[in-house]
Parts: sequence; structure tokens; C-alpha cells
Amino acid sequence: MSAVQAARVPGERAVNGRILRLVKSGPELRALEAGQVDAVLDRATGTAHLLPEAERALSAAGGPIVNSLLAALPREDYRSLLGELEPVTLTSGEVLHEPGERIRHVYFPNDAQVSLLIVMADRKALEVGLVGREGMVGIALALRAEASAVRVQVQGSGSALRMNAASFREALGRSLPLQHELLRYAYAKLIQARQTAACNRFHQIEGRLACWLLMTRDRVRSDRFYLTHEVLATTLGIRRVGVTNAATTLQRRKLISYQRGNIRILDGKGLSAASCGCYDIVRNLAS
Amino acid sequence: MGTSLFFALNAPKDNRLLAALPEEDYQALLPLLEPVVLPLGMALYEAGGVQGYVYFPTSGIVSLLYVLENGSSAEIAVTGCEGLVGIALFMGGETTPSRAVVQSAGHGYRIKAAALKTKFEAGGALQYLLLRFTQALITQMTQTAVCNRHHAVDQQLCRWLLLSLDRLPANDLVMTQELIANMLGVRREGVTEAAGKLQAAGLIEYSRGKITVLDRPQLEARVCECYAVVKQEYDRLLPATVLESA
Repeated sequence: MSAVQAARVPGERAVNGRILRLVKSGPELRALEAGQVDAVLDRATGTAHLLPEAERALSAAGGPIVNSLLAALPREDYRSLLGELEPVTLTSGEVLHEPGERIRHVYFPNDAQVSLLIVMADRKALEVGLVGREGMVGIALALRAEASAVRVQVQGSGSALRMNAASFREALGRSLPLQHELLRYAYAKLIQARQTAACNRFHQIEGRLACWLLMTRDRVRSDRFYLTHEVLATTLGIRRVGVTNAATTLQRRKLISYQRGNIRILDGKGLSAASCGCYDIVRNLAS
Repeated sequence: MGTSLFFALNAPKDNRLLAALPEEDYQALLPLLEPVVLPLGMALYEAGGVQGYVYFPTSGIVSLLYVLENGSSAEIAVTGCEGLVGIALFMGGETTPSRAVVQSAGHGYRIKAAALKTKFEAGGALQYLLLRFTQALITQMTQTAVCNRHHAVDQQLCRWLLLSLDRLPANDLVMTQELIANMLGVRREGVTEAAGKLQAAGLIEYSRGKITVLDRPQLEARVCECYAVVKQEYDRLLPATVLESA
């Protein structure tokens, strides 16, 4: 199931080098399109660009579509982690961690989506973060803490690779690239927390909904996804009727379609313009 | 004030992160520390600025502010003698994302960004403490996000007062309503109303820009849970001492 084997990269120099961005008609993209290499890593965004065949082969094998944090590691470092990574299927609703609990595993989602929630004294939960293939669940461990104050709950079913806490600490100790990748990611999380604090204070529901839909699109890599009113209400910390009103407005402006939880982004640019702007800020600061 | 007198009045170890370092690590850092005065209103960083120094306050409070395009701002987190200001440096950020302003005057030490980065990269107790502090700071920001959404302004004011008091030696805060409004990101009338409520209940006394907390236990009884969550995380994550340099 090794993702490295499946996503074999003969053009290794390109992977270990620092490609700043895949340039249109640049050598990396040409090599990718010509089928000379199976994958190119874009270090600027932490994205792995896979050849369609490689992507298909991976999903056909039931194997992981490479998590971006793992994909951004040099091959040797990645390979040394493989023995400790265990593929798991995460099911929507499953709770991976309760506030204050000792973190037992870290998770690198592939196509699963995981919510970080703050549980309020009145038992209400409010989403404060979202982790998908771009990230890792359990980043507190990389910051040398044993626990974190959030509830971690699976929001979109899918696959992930997990590693137990002890192995993870060991891996972190021996791989400098892993440390750097995770610090960068932790910093992105911090930027996100900061932005959410300001966004919650200043921005209107409609703009926040638009922002959140764009973030979800990035994580699932699709313009279509499923989200109930209830999930959206929890996420945005508003009542369900507020979600209905905001979604209706976005729908009327032909930016999205929304039917019984099935969301489709019709006009990404328009949605971005309708969003509160926090989406762009986080992306720019954290990349 | 001469440097030696400054050191005597504001020992580097008044900063709890510096105090928690093993003696050997502390001694290695000491020659790099420069004393600084932190007067009220001084901006340590502007949003998007290049970071020259990292600051370890020994007294006073520094507020991290989110600044909107229209100039209004809201406080995202506070840091005092328990922490440091400027984590972007070792977390790999190239510029400082937030404005950092002295909210309550004090003193501290600063260290050149490049020098601290080298020490951080070497690992050991310093790296351990700085990372754990970062986790605590993330918790504070996250909780602020929730509080901004869910809790009434008077509860937010209680949270803000308690977080501030924990970082100050006395029970007084010198603060104008306008400044508080900026910190909380609400309108002045909102602050006036909230402070009025707390004053009427006998929790605080508010006159001419000076807030005195009269009844801290009552303030703690009235505050939303956000204060306790943040305090617990800080207590848990920031040890009094790190024994080993590992």
C-alpha cells in the first residue's frame, strides 16, 4: 500500500528540489504530462500533483491519495515513516479526541475531513478548525504538548493514515524535514485561529458561510459536497434559520446550489467575492 | 537608568519562560538579551512587518491585535511575563501577522530575531518551552474566537479583566473605555454598558480611565468558561522549570 511505490517518481531531483510553483509549460508540468514522472510536489502550496494514472492506481488499490504534509517530505524521511503509518477509515460522526484527553494518535487525512470543535459549557460545539488532506490531526503533539483543548470529530468519511503518539514523537525527533513541515502547518493553524477570532467578531453570516464553503472545497477537492443545515449551524455558531437565510441568498445569486444538504459551488470566483475575505487572507499568510 | 539597575529591578527571570530554562541554557541566552522599556501604546510590531526582535516581557501586557482594512481592531490574545511576543519567527512565518501593542506599561528583554532562531533550531529546553507556549497561545486565540461569537459583552469584559489581572501585580488597570472597546472589538457604548453592569454589581470600580477590581471571586463567578479553559491550558503547558536540556 506504500504510496511512495505507487506514486513512483523517477524525476526525483524535481521532488527533492524546491519547486516554487508549477509553471504552465514549465519542465515539471511537461514531464508530468508526458508521463515521465508520476508526481510532482509543489512545495509552495504543499500540494502533490499526481499523474491521472497514478491517482487512479492509488484509489483503485484502495490506497491513500497522498496527504500533502507527508507528500512534501523528502522520500527518505517519508519512507522511514511508512512502517509506523497505519491506514484507517474514518466515519462521519466518529470522535477521535475529547478536550483535555491525552492524544493517542495523530492522523494524516487523505480524503477524510475532520473538524476541530470547542465544546461550550452548555454542551454546544463550535467549529474552530478543519483538517483535510493538507494537514494533520494532533498537531499539539508536534508542539510538545500531550493534550489539546478541542474535540476532534470526523465530518466527512474517508481514509487517513494514523500513527501512535510514541512513534510520532520518535519520528519527529529524527526527521528535521518533518519538524519543519509540521511547524509550518502549526503556524498556518495559528493564522487560522487568529482569523477566525476576528471573523467571528466582525463579519456577517453570509460572508462567513461563503468563506467556509470555499475552505471545504479545498479540502475535499470538489465543487460538490454534502453538509446538513445542522453541521453548518454548528460550524458557524448560528441558528439553523440563519444558515437557511444565508444559503438562500447565495443560491439566489447563483453562486451555489443547495438542496437537502447537497451543496454545489457554481461560481467559485463569485463566491470568493461574496466571502468575508478571510479565506484569501489565510491562504496567503499560511502558504 | 543604568543597565545594572535595570537588571536588578527587572530580572530576566521575571519572565517565566526564561525562568523555566535550565541554568546552563539560561546562561547561554543571557548575553543575547537586551533590556527594553515597554511604554503604554508602543507598537512592537505592525501587521505585515519584518520582525527584528523577539520580546520577553518581565512586566506589563502586550496585546496582539487583528487590524481590519478600515482601521478598527480586535484583540486576539494577550501576553505578559508568562510568554514571549514574536512566535512567527521560529514558526516559519516571514512577516508578523498581527499588530503587537503594549496595553499595560512594563519592561522586558529582547533578543535579535536571527540569534533566537539559531538557539531555537538547536532544540533543547528552549525549543520545548517555545513550542509549548505556542500551543497555549493557539488555545487562547481559539477560545477568543469562540468567546467573540457566543458570549455577552459583560462576560467578555470579565474574561479580559481576569486575563489582564493575571499578568499584573496589582488589582488596578489603567484603561480608557475607548481602549477597551478597541481591545474587545465592540463599540464604546457596549463597553460603557457592560462596565456599568459590573460596577452596579460591586465587582469593579470605574473612574476616569482607571478600573479597580473590587471582588475578584465574583468576577470569576460571572466570567464565561473561556477564561478557565485558557488559564488551565497555560498552567498545564508552561512548567515552572524544565529540568533537562533535552
